[in-house]
Amino acid sequence: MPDIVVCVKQTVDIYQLKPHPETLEPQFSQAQSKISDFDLNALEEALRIREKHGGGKVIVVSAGPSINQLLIRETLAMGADEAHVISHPSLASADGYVTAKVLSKLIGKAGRWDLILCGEASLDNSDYQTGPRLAEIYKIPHLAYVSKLELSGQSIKAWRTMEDGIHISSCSIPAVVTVGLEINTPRLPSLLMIRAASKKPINEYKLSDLGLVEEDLKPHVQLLELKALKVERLRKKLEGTPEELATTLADIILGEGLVKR
Amino acid sequence: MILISMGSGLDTPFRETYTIMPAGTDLIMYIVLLPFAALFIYGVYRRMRFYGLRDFRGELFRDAPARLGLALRYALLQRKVLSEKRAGIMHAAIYSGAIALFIGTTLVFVDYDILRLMGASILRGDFYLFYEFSLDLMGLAFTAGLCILVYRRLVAREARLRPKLEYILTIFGLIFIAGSGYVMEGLRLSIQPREWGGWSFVGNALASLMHGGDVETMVTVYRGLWWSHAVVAFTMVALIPYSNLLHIFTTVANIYFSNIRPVSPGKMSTPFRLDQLEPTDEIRIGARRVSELNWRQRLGLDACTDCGRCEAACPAYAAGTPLSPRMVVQKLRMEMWDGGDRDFFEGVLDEEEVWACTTCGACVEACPVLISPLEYILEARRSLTLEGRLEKKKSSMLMNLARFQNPYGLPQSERSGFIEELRSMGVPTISEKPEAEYLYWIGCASSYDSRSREIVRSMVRILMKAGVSFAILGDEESCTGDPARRIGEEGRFQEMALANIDTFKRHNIRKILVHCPHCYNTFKNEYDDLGYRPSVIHHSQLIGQLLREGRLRIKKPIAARVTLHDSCYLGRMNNILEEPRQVLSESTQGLVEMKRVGRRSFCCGAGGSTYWYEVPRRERESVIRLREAVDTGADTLAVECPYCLQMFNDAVRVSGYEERLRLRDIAEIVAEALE
Repeated sequence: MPDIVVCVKQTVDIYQLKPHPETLEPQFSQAQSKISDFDLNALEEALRIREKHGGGKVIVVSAGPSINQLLIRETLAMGADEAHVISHPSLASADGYVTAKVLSKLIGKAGRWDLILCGEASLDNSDYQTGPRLAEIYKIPHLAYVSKLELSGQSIKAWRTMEDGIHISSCSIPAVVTVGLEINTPRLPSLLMIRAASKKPINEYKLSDLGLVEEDLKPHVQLLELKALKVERLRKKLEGTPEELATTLADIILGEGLVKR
Repeated sequence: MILISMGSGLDTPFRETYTIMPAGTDLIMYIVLLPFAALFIYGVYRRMRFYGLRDFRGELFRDAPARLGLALRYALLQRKVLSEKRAGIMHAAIYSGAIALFIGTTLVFVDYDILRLMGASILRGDFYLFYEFSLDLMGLAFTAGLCILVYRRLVAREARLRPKLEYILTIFGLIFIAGSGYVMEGLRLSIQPREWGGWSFVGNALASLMHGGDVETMVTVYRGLWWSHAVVAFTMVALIPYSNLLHIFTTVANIYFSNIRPVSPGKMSTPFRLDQLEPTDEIRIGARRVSELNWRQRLGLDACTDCGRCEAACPAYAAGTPLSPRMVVQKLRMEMWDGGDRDFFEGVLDEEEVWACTTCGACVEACPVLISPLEYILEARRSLTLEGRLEKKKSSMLMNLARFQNPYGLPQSERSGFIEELRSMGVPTISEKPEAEYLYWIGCASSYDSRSREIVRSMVRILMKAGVSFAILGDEESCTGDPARRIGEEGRFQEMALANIDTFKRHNIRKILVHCPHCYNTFKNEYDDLGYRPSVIHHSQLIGQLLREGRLRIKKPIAARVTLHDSCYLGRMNNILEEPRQVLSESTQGLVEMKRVGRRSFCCGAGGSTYWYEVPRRERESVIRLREAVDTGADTLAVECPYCLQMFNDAVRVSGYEERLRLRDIAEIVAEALE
């Protein structure tokens, strides 16, 4: 009966994000926050492992500039047993390095565990850093891009979707696994379950509780500028025989530098 | 040695019982009957235990007069059974024949086993002659019904009739009882000719065929037939609680216990009140096992006669989805007989069946014995949703409702332009015009879908022309919660409904105008349970009323031959059938009807939230229905629902009828005819 930690990030819903028409900067205030999609897959996988192996705790950890309790409650409603969270404004600029460090401290508060599950990346930054860095902190194996996971005894077997095909790997636990969207379909907690989940504990910490100071939250990566790509159509109408059209089209594509000769 | 009383010189006709049988037959017969009776009683007891005998005891006499009225109409008088010609006549013939023959047999029992011992008799004189005549006549009805039955199963081969060994044996049993009864009567009248024999006209005719036969042989044959007739009849009675014959009792009970008030099938049950729950209350809703159904629902399963009328009416079945409402009920019924403890989704039902349902209610309308297959499907949906066992599209829709208060998942800003447009047409918000008579509820479809917005534009023109006092909610409008409820997410539905009720009460709203039948149904039938009962009016009703009152005048009926697609949630669920027709016949060149109209209309395929997810089907419901519309020769298909409009919009394109059929909402037609 493994105890599993699931790391979840609250991100802005990028599908709602619209760039400012002039500055092209994303207008964060108009979009709602949500749990990063991949992390819900990680949580779902943890719950399925628990259901299959008949027990064990599922613990949610989350760090961010301002953790929305309701969203954490939704993860508890899905079936997690407890949550450990920290909100700190400086975490708005956190990179994988900072996030992994803070999460490891939260995990330290959670007690014993056998497996850490993360989404392979976050919906907003897509850095693919946090999971592997956590494994580095604990000096334990990690398997990334997992699309199918099996646990037996003290080892896991993972199907990893890579560019050249599917790699099947295994390692002993404790380990860190990062999962992709194709691994499962996360369950959707009903409103009744969300209400009932208000009985489950959400433990909130301050920096000092975790033995951290402001300085620890300084990221290694600095964000210089964030802008939307401007997509514009050329609005050209071509006429001629298919052969002529093909030539003209090829010239345009090459002329715009879209494909290099 | 055979002892036969050759009763010559009898003046008064009377029933002669056991006269051809050896002495003591009556006693042996009762002894033989005992095990059959025991089997019957045990079976009935077991069935009652399945339904939950204890649960319905208190219900037995509640509302008895009203319930007896229902039983009279739908059980005794077979009102819905008779709504289909061939099947109706067949059943009426067998049903009335069987009842008459049963009464006949009971009278013999009373006459011979009770009254005879007291030295009295009823089966004599004129009454006896009447008795013989009417039993022969009703026996003919019984036989004729059986002939239609065999014809429907062997010759006409109706697809919805399933061949099952159980049914074949039952049919043979019934045919044997009818046939042997007549032959015995013929034999009796041959062995013991009576002056009054002519009253038993069938038996008499058969007797004349046997004329001159060997009496001893006839007596032997008679005795053989007598016993086989009795044993087959006993067997069939004993098997009632173990077979489909059980419907004789269960249908009556189901009808008796069905809801007294004509509750619309558009109203779902309210298993809890969100505003009355403690925050941490843990409740389960829906059913995942037959044992989790209530006693009335379990009884309903056993009332199913497998007639297949629901299946024939079901749009999802016609579209080739895995759903057949009959099979849902039959599978649950089999599961109940097997104990009823299995999870529905571990070998009883398929999730796909449950999700293919458009909740159109055609099955409920079709069922002759007032079973609601829809109810079982919705219970199962609730249990799946409670667990969050939903695929991507369904959970996205629910997430959209939670986050954006509309199923499209579009932010409020997407409709602000449209609200502005309406305001520039002169439409006030309720805050600006608190005294407005009607609140015009736009609904999600017309707030976010550009084609459906046309309905609102037309309706606003109509309202202004007629000088109706109305206002809109503007930014305060949300979704009624219907898609959440139909997918089984009761909590989310109630959360949205309670928020809307709050808005309505804050603005002191009493009359709501809608052009969406789903909004109509939810406000009209479902908000009541949450403590709010507004007066709701569909735009077709209001237009009809304005025309009647002369506040609206049709200038020039539009040059179109129109056919009307009755929307399920308006027609079948809420019986609004006349007004749309009145409006259309006034504002067009003429209305032609489709094959299936009114309460028997055929769903466009968007109901029950199926609009929001993929249902694998062979053919779209909307395309099937569109063909029916084209077959009328009409050039315009009028709809009364924005979702029907969207479904047919696609159907017209995929079937290439864009040139032949114009698609318009009733309001669009009227608005044009006014100008």
